[in-house]
Amino acid sequence: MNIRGVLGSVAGLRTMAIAVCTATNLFFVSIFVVSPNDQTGFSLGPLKFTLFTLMIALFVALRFAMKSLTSAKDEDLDELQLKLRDDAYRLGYLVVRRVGLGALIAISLVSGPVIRFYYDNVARAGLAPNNSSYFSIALKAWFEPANLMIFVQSLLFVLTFTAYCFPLVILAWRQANFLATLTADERLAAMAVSPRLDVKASNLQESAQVIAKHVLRFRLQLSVVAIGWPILLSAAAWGPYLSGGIWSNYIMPAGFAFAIPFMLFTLWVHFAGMFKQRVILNELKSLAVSDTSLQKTYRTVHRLAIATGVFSVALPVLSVASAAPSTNRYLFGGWVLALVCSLGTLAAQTSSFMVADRTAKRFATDAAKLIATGAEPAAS
Amino acid sequence: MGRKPKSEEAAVVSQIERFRGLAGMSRQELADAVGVHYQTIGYIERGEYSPSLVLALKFAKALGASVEDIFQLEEN
Repeated sequence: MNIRGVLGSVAGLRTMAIAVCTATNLFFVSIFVVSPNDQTGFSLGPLKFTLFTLMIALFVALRFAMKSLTSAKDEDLDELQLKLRDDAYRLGYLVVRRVGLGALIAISLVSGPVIRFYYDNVARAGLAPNNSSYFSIALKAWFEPANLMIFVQSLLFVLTFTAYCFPLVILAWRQANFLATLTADERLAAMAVSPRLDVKASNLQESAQVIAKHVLRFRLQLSVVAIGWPILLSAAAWGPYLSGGIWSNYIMPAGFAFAIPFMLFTLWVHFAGMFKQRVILNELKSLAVSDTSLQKTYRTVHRLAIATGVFSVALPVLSVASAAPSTNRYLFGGWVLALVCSLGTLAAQTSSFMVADRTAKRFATDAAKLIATGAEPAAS
Repeated sequence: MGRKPKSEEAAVVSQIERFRGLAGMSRQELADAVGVHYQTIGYIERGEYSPSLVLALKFAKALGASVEDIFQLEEN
C-alpha cells in the first residue's frame, strides 16, 4: 500500500484526526507554561518545537489525504460534497470563535489578580521573592514585553491553525466513518482520484492555456524569490548598522526578525511551486504520449524538486532547532548559519524553479505542436 | 408559525438501492449517470442525505421511475 493508501485508510484518517487534535491542544496548553529551566520565557523550547513541528507535519498529511475534497473547485464537487465541506468549515469557524472567546474570558479573569500579585510581590522586590518558586519565575517571564508578544503570537497562531486544520479533521473523520462501511474493493474505488482532463483533442487548447498560466506563475514566483530574498537579507543585515545600531546587540535579532518570516515565505513559494508542478504533470498525462523523453524529464525534475524541498526545509529547521534552546541570541554563529541556510534555500529554489519553468515551456511547445497537427494524443 | 426545528422535520426515505438493483446498475454507474461522486450514492441510500430536487429528478430519469416512487416522506 502506498502513502496515499495509508493516509486514506480508515485507521490512517482517524489516527491523523486524533493526533492533530492532541498535538494542537498540547501546544495550546504549552504556550501558558514556562519552563523553570528556561527563564527566557516563551521561547520555542524543544518540547514546544516538537509539538509545533508535529502539528505542521500532521496538518500537511491531513491536507494531502483530503485534498480531493478540500482543494477541489466548487464545480468539480457534487452537492453533497459541497455541503460536507461547508458544514466542516462552519463548524471550524464555530470552534475557533468559541476557543477564542474562552481564551479571552480566561485571560481577562486571571490577568487582574495576576498583575496585582506581580507588582506587589515580584516587581517591587526586584527579584522573585523565592527563586525556586515556579510561579515567580513564570510571572517574571510572562511580564517580559517580548515574551508577552510571543505569547499573544502563539495564541493567534493556535487560533489560525485551528481555523485551517479543524475542518480537515471533521472531513477526515467523516470520510473514515464512510470508508468503514465499505468493502475493500469499494474503498479503493472511493479513494480514486477525481477524473482529470480526458484525452479528447478538444481539451488540448484548454490544457495549453493552463500550461501558459503555470509558466507565467513560475516566472512570477521565481522573480519574487530571486529579487526579494537578497534584498531583504541585505536590509536585515545592514539596516540596523546603517541606522546607528550596535552590531553585537542588533544584528542577530534583526536578522532573525527578517530572515525567519521570509524564509517561511520563500518555503511557501517553493512548495506552492512544487504542487503546481504536480498539477501540470497530472494534466499533461492525458496529453503526452506515454514514456516520452518529456515525461522522463519531468519525473527527474519532480524528484529534484522534492530533494531541494527537503533540503530547503531541513536546514532552516535544524537552524531553528539548534538556535531555539540557546540563551545567547546574539551568537554570531547562529546568524552565519541562518545566512548559509537562506542562501542554500535560495539556490535550491532558483535551480528548481528554472528547471520547472524550462520543462513547462517544453510541455507547452509539445502541446502546441499537437494542436497544430491535430494529432490525437495516446491514452495514458 | 415559523420553521420547525431540525429534529421535527420529516425525513426522506430513499428507494434508490432497490431501483438501482432493478436497473442492474452499480453505485459507480449510477453516480456517473447522474453526475455525482460515488460516495454520494452511499449517503443517499443509507438515508443520511436528502438530495436536491434537481438531483432527485436526475435519479428518476436514470432509473426510469418517478421521483415519488424513489423518494417518499417518512411516515411518523
